[in-house]
Amino acid sequence: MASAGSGDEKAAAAAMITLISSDNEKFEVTEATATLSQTIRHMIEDGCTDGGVPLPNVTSKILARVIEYCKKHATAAAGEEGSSSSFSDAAFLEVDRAFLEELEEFDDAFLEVDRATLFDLILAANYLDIKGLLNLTCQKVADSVKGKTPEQIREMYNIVNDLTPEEEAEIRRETQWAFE
Amino acid sequence: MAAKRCADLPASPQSPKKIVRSVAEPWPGLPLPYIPDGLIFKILARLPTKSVIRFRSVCKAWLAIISSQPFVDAHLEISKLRPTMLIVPGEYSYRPEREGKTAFWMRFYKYNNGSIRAELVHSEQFPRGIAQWTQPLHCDGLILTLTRDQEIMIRNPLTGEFIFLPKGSHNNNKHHRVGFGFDPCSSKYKVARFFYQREYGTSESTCRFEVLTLGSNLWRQTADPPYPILAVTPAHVCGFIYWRVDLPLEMDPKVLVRFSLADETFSLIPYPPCNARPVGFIELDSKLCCSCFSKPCGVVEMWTCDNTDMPTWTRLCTVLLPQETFVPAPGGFFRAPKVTFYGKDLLIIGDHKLYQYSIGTGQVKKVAVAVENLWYYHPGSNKYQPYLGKEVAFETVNYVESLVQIRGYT
Repeated sequence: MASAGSGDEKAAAAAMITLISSDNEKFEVTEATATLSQTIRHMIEDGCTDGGVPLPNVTSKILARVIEYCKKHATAAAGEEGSSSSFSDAAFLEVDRAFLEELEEFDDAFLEVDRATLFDLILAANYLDIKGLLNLTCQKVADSVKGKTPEQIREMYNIVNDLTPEEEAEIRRETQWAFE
Repeated sequence: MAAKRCADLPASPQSPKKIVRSVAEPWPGLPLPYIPDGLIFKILARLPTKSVIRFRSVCKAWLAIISSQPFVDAHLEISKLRPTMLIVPGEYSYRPEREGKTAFWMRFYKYNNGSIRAELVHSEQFPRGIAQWTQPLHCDGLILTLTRDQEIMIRNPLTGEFIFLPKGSHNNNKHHRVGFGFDPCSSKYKVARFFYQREYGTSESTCRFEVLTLGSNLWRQTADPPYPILAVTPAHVCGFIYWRVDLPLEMDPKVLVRFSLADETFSLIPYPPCNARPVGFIELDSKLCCSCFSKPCGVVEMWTCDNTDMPTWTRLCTVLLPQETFVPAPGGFFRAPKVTFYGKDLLIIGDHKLYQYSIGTGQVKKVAVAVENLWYYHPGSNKYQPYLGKEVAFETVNYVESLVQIRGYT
């Protein structure tokens, strides 16, 4: 958190940043929420956030979802500070566990979106450099394709098979067990 | 690259769970977002190894991504977050001509927490038989086994790659052990072993040491270890291999011998500040962890140590052990159980019975589905069968799935 160690956490946390989506909608967020994005954090550090941060790659629909995620996880990050999750301390582990469970439930509900939205979220998380959100969304896609055959993958994602039949046969021969 | 369209992804109104079960639907002419290869990389790196290997034949772009070294590395890092355990049952028969126990296959099963069925991961046939093996070693998805005949094998159980290493120098000691790890300096896997060499004209043996870099097929002798090394399975942690000293109790220097895979030199690490002798070594979160059993048997202290040159020990926990996990040995002794990690819990394995200890809550509970009463898949009969009543030695080894290619290093 940018505010951590600044010695003036309250003031920093209350500082508001304006994010502007590609369709020109404005979102007011706290600095703590905004700095979950490394991209925005660097902009704040460079002092170029006056008058709002234009995000030409993110629509208002997606930005609203991204902010929802960041708000929840910024609170999570703030809650973790100070509570050193010591391996042997059962009391802390209990608190951490309840908290992590709540966060996990939030993440699961957050991912209940259609595929187009999911991929828009991946692109936004990548552009804004929000590691947690990128990992979460990539894992969701990975989970949805893991049991598929190559044919199903091509069909689902309109991929043209540009391997020659010989190349494909060779790959399959090497790894026959993975198809069983 | 021609196949950029693999990145094009259409919308789906269905939840992924439903997609998995349904036949893939066609997605006609929707406006699709372009996903750069870097993001395809990130998604594929989160797949189980079997899916990744299958998806090599989707298109050229995916094949190129999956075959690249950065992808293998990234996939391994994510895979390390899902550690599992393999069980290697050894069903031996006695062959006098081989002066010992012989097995005709080696099979690797995955221990699925709570499931009675042990899934077969990999199987190797040895029509001419193979001598009894010791505790398997693991590094980055590669499993090394060593037999009493000093045959060393390395395989990736998931890709099926398998090699024999050349035999090392003659060991004038009945017991053999090797260490296996990754040298972060040269980015190579290395196998390290001690051997006892008889001095000419005397009955004295000297402990010597040699190293093989995977791919070189050559054992290179190093400087002699500072103390004779005991034939117990060593641990590998972050480019160091930790060995125990083979000296009588009254001469015990109370140190571990640490071998650096990077510069191939030895250093000494003092024992943890514990009254009991450290016996078992394992890796936990990139730290050395050792189990110290106090006398009379019944309590194990787990100590961890950082990897610095002046290491400091921290006691992780003290566990009262279930009596059942101690195996009586000749002479009134007891064989201490093996203590290993399973996620963030400890597994205590004694006499093929399993106890799980939660470091968080301090609870020990017996795991109903233990190693001895699992049902193991037998490819010959295409059935799951128990080993109940048979003389079987079960070895267990912590493991992570990986795409690491042995031939990438040869």
